[in-house]
Amino acid sequence: MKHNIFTTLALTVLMVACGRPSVPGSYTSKNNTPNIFPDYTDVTIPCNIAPLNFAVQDGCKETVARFTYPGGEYIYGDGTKVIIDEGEWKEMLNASKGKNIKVDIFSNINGEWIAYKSFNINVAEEEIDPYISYRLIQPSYVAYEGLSINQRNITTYEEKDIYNNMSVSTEENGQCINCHSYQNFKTSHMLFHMRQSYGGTMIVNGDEVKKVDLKTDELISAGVYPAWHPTLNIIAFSTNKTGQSFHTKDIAKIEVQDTESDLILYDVDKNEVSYIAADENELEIFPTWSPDGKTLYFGSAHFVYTGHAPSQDSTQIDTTKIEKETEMIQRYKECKYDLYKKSFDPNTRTFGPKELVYSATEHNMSATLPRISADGRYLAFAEGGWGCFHIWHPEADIQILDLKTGKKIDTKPMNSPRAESYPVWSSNGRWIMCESRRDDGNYTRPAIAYFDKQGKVHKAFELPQKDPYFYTFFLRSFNRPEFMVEPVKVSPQTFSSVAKKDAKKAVFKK
Amino acid sequence: MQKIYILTIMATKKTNNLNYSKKPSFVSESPKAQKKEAGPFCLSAKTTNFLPWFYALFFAVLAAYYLIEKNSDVLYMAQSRNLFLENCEYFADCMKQPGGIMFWAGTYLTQYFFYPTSGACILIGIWVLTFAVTKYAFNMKNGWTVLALIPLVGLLCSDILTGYWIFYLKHPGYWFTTSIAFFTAMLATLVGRIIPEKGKIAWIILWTFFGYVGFGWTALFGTLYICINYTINTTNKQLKPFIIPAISVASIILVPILCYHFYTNIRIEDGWIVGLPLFWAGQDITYIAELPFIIMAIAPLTFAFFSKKDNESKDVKGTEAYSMLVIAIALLGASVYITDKVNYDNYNYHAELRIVKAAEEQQWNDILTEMANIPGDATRQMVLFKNIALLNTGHLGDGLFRFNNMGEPPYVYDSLKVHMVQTGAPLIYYYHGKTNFAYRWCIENSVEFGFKVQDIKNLVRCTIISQEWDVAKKYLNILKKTTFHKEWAEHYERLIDNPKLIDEYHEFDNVRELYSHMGTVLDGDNGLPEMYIINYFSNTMNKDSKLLQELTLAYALIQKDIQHFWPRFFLYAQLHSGDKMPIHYQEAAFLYGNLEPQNVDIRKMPFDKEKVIDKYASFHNMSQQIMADQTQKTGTVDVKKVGEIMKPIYGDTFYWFYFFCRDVKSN
Repeated sequence: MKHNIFTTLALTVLMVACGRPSVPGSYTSKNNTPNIFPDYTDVTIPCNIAPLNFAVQDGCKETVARFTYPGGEYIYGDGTKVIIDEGEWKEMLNASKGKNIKVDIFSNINGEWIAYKSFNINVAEEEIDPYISYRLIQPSYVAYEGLSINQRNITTYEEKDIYNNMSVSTEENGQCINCHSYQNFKTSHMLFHMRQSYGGTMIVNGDEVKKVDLKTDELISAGVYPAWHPTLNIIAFSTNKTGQSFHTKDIAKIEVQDTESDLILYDVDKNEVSYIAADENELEIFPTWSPDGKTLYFGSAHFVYTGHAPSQDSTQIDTTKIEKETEMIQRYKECKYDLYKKSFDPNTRTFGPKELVYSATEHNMSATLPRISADGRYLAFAEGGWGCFHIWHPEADIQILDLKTGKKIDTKPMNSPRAESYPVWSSNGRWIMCESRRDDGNYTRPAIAYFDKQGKVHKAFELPQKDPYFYTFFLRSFNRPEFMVEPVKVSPQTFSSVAKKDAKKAVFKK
Repeated sequence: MQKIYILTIMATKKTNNLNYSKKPSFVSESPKAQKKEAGPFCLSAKTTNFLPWFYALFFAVLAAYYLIEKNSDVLYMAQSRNLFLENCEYFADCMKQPGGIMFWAGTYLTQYFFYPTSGACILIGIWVLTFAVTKYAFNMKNGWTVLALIPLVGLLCSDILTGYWIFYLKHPGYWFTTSIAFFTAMLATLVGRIIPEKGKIAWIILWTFFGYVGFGWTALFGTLYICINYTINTTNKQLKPFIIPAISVASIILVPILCYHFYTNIRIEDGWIVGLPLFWAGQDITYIAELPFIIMAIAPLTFAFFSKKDNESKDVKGTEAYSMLVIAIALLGASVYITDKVNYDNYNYHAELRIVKAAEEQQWNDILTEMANIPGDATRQMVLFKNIALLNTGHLGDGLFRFNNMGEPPYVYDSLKVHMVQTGAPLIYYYHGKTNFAYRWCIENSVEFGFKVQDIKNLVRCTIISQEWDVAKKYLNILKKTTFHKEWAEHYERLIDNPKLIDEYHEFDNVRELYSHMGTVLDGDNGLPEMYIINYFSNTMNKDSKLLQELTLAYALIQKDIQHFWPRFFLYAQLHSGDKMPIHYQEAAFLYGNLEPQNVDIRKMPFDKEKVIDKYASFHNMSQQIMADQTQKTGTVDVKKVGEIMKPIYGDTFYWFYFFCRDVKSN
């Protein structure tokens, strides 16, 4: 007993000396959980994620958080912030695999301490892929400058540029970069696009880094939305004629629409492109491979142009001839996508006929961005009222279809009242990451949700940052977050130097 | 300023006369001098000791005049188009490129232009301090310290020549950054001079590396200054003569190459000019605006030749005294002349800046006063703000054509193309209730030129109107991290916390009314906001909001579209039944009724006899008379000339606008 007292005293002295806060002696208990930012209450997290630092937003001047885990407890507090020591966090995670960490929050409001209802941070046994990559971009409309594709080690806070467009050109010769993609979560085979100045598609093919031009006379555009085959050196792309128009009042602000789109296949070794699908009345988009590489999933909207403006009076036909772009703007809410698949024979490299997988139009909705889970059973996608660019649609949510039962899974825990889009699965299929505008409706943040073995979706949490207020002051969106099992090894300077070279033109194969 | 220049020369002549005839008090009374009645021209040590003080004072007065007196409005706009945040993330963000400390400190100090005089005093203080450090860094002879003004005049010029580049510069903290970097380079030169010879090599390497990281290209010049200073002024060199130059040149070449591998956002070819303000906007490149920086950087390369060989102040005699005096007078005169020449004093430019500030503060009468005082034609942006001011003061129908509506293009001294979307369009759209378009251009411009306080305030206004409270709060949180806009943010934070209070915030009343009565469609302005606004509102019909309805009528007048006018005119009359019909609407109705009597019968309309009917008759008669005279003299009619002759009498009528306000090009 005496020993314990001395130990406790010694620890207390040490903690005070180290500036570690202590739980207040007296407080008033509250029945609700605290309002913390980012919201990490009752989330399920991987056992290798970086510390979930947060801030308490209840108007307090000071806060203390007690983390109780199977191995003991730690107490943190730094003004309104709770900043967790990385070493201690790892210790807590290791001891809590398959269990939870209980968090008690005490806030000092106007000199009086209150204690909130405890919440849990559940620690899953499964790890998450250690790296993710994303494009950082202002939620802009047509302008681009200072764009970068970044990689983040999500087990720590380390972030690096993969490529920054300012390293190549600026101003009139500015360059837009987009659509980074990896083969089977590995970075030895990866790509991203560069548009306008020094345009082309940057391809890392093992040790080779090259720039290719996928636009041929036969195609409506160069390759756009990519999907690298999980085992073969081939990439499915959509080709798109994309336009933007602006809502004069709607808070959605913008519509991104394709007036034409097809699917193509690019053979990396032969530098050849060929059609996968090119139906005049179909807008095919967002190809993605099943993990076994034997099926290609994609979205497609059936849209027949009339060449005339829609008439106000349904009994009359407006004979004014209009361009496709104009007609699409006028009928944009009619453009709704369903999800399809085509079988693929890896030996002959031929595709089967188109088969409907999920009809969103049946529910008067539009489904895009399909992604298949690691076990091939679940299909995640983004669903909104119309169109293909759901991050601008506040009502858009992530949906998951059980391909075995044909039924949708309850995804409410990972969605928010604001836009969610671009779902991706981790390599082990236990984590789903998506773009989310849950914070403010305008800036996109990566949100990650646990998908357990029973096929249940858990509450999503925002990618942790060292400073809890990071997202408050950060004025860029995290675009197209993708999982990686390893970091990109090619340096940004190497990419820049290759970017300045001429692109090798792809050849169209009938 | 030319008067001051003449006075300076006269004073100089007088001084020279005194030197020869009456032996002024500052001439040395040394025994040698006493022996010779008319010895060589001599500046005493006492006098030369005084000269640096005089030069510094002279420059401070010059700078104060051009910054505070001539460019206060520009300085205020400079801080408005700046964003410094008091947090570690902002510092880290600045440090992502070479010159990070310079950008961080520059944006911090630019904030002080919120009170233009305070900011200007800080800037002048830095310059005067730089002058002093330069003197000691090169151990300059007092008389020759006038040369140390050359870089400072360059810096002063760089701050007053920007003109519309203020909207296009991609150089955070432009007004301070190079001054800070140059000051630091001078400090480094001073350290390089006083440091023991054994430490010089280490200092050069360290300075070049860390100076480059913190201050960019200027640091490389700093290394050159240290090198030249050492090479020329160090006697009894312990190191072999080529060592320091070799180390310096190698550092200058290698440090940017080395740093290229640490930074991911610079081009290797730009490595040696990182941090140099570039006047590039699309295809428009203005090298002349970079001249002040080049002069600033090159001038100190010569300073080492004007060093004291020892630390004692001596009399300066003969040719050196003459040349010192002549060069000083020439340089001071040239400083005044050049500063005045490069100062961007276009009236409309300054008026536009003042109008934008007044519009942000909703000082509508200030805008109208500004418009009433312009000496020539206004820019289209000024015309649009004038219309907004009239709408908000309730005088649209009586004042629309009372002011200049012609639309002079923004004056530029180079090929820069000024687009309204990058200058005043976000605020113009906002006050027209088109918050989505205002929001869009704020974001687009932020992508190109970085976020500014001005953009963020506009984003706050827009998101309050659209009731996007969370994102409004985000922007307010950002403003709360600035030094001078916290109060503004706190004022609106109350509203974000309790949106029901919006009725108490009357500054939003009119915009809310316009916004709430407009529908939503997919649209686009193609980068031409005025054309879009005119087309949108002249094609809109609304009977639920008097404010919006009047705007549609006003723009139908501006559109000069008779078919659009009549339904909006009758609707206006219906909505304002019992009120006096504003004069311009009467004029339009009377004119259109006369031009196309078959469409609307205006005979029973109660037009103002004197202001409308009689004025139209006299307008008609005068125009007929002038045209008849012209036809008689030349055989043709020059409509533009007719308009010019009639403008003093009828320029404030819709009649004149309809017939003579033509070929107006919006930007």
